[in-house]
Amino acid sequence: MENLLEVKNLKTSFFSDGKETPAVDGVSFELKKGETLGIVGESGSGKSVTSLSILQLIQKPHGKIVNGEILFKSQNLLELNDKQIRKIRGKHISMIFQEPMTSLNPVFTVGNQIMEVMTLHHGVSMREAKVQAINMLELVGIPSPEKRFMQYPHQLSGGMRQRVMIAMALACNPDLLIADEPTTALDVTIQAQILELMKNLKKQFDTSILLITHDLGVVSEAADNVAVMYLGRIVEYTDVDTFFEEPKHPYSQGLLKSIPSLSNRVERLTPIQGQVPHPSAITQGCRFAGRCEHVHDMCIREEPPLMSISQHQIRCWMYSESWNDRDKEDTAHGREVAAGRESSKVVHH
Amino acid sequence: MNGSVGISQETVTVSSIEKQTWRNNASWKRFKKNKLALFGAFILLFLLFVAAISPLVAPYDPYVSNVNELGGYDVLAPPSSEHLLGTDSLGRDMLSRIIYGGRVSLSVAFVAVMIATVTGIILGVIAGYYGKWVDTLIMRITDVVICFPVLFLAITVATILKPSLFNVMIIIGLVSWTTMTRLVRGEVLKLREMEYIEAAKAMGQRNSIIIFRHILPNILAPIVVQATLQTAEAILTESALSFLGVGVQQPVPSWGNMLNEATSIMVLQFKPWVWAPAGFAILLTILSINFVGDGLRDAMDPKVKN
Repeated sequence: MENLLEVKNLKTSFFSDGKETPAVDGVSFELKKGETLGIVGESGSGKSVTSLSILQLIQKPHGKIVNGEILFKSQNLLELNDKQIRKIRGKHISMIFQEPMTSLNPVFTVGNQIMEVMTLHHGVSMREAKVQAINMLELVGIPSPEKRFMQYPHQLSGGMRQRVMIAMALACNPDLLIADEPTTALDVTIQAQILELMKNLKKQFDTSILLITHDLGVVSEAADNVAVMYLGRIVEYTDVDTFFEEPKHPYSQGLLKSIPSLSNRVERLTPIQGQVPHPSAITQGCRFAGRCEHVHDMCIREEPPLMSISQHQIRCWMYSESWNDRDKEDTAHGREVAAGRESSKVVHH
Repeated sequence: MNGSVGISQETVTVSSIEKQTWRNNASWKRFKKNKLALFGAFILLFLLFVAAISPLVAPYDPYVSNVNELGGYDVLAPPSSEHLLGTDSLGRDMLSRIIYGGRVSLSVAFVAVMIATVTGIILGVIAGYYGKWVDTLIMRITDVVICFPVLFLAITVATILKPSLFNVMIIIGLVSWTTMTRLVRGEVLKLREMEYIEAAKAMGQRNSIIIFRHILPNILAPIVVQATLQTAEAILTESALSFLGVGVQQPVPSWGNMLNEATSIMVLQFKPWVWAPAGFAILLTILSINFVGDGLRDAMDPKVKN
């Protein structure tokens, strides 16, 4: 099947005081029609910046897409002018945000705001838009939609508002839905409901979803493929079953180990050591080296490329041929160096 | 909801929603609780009403000197049953001049504030929303205008433009847009980071629509409050300019140029009816406006809960 979205070598940087800080660095992935790709990572890994880059919503004076291509239906979005990209936004690619509490305008009724998208892109009459908007509200599982249509955002609960956001996002039947942590701000029961809703709507509308999250539970629930991001790089990219059965990158392994499990009782969870360094503190070598338990001299010398191994694409020297030739003593040395770097990074904060 | 039951249910819900939703309803309730603000609003409405129908309520023509039974001009006559507030140094009825003067002073203030508010909103929104060098340029110009001493600037401009009713409005508008600009810019900056603005962009909305639909309605409350308070300031500035003789010119009455009579020590000491009513009218109006402004601020502040 043809790719709906192809991101190639995307690099988005933020500039302050003439200094460049890359938030997303050389990210490539693809998304087929009707597929869901989960982008996972800690705060600061660049996952949100990636999604904002696709719609070119990066704050202009500081943030800039430096390099790369974003092919949507074989058309490079980065070559479009403002007017053309506005036609794509909301109509072909729409977005759901993290905070349902603040992503609706408090002074208009929710119905009015859903109608706004419809009249904007489809040029339907107000009367028709109203009928469609009420249908959308019903579709996203809002009870008595005629009543809710006339209510203001503050009269709705968080879950309801997120449903309204989904209704707005799907109002124009987009090909791609970018969901930036859609369930993070909701409580767990509502999370499950919203995920279920998104899965059903995805089937119904045949929409592709780019699911940005830090919650691996959400990924296992909803995604077909997973891309793990760390410090602006994709470190592991695979399908969801392989990812959970056999994570390869030490970072992915660490993420999975730090989730409490119902079946295996353990006294303590194993967290990943240290914290994500600031992007400005990136040096040559593997970006995860400072926190990696398998760190080796070569990890610090040079950054591994994204390598394809069976189902995985992975950025780690452990899966290269040269890993077997490594010197044992070097490992200890490497860890020392890495630890030194880590502490200096903390000072940077 | 379906069938015949649905219709009746729907009408019930509609009315109950309208009752509880209208945000201003809550604001109005809060405003009502503030007795001073309510009093101010009442006085202000009364003054506006009198100003609007002044030809009907004024007992005399404010431009004509009155002649007494001896055939001379009735100059500086103390209050009597004939002239309730006496007459001025040219024998014109004070009450009529106060009423007509209110008309002039209030309209000068309102037009000036309108000019200042519109200018302030336009510049503030542009500076706050577009940022970068546009922001820097607008804010530096604002800083420069703030640095001018208002009265001296107004006097200078008035001398160049020749004092007239229309020019007074423009002058006051030109020196008072800065506060509004700063206020609007700050509010826009705060709002620009809100997720619903980002959502509107992600929806493919144009900047102009985002400004008019998503930003302006959300900063209306501080704008209204600021404009109200600025009206009081504009009345004061008008009075000051007219008092100094560069504002509204005789024979057109304004509260400010009526105070001008008090420059004569004789009038100031022995004929208080010539200047006191005008001063009192200014005092009352400004006090009322400030009460209303404070009341509005408290009532429309979304952070205040009932």
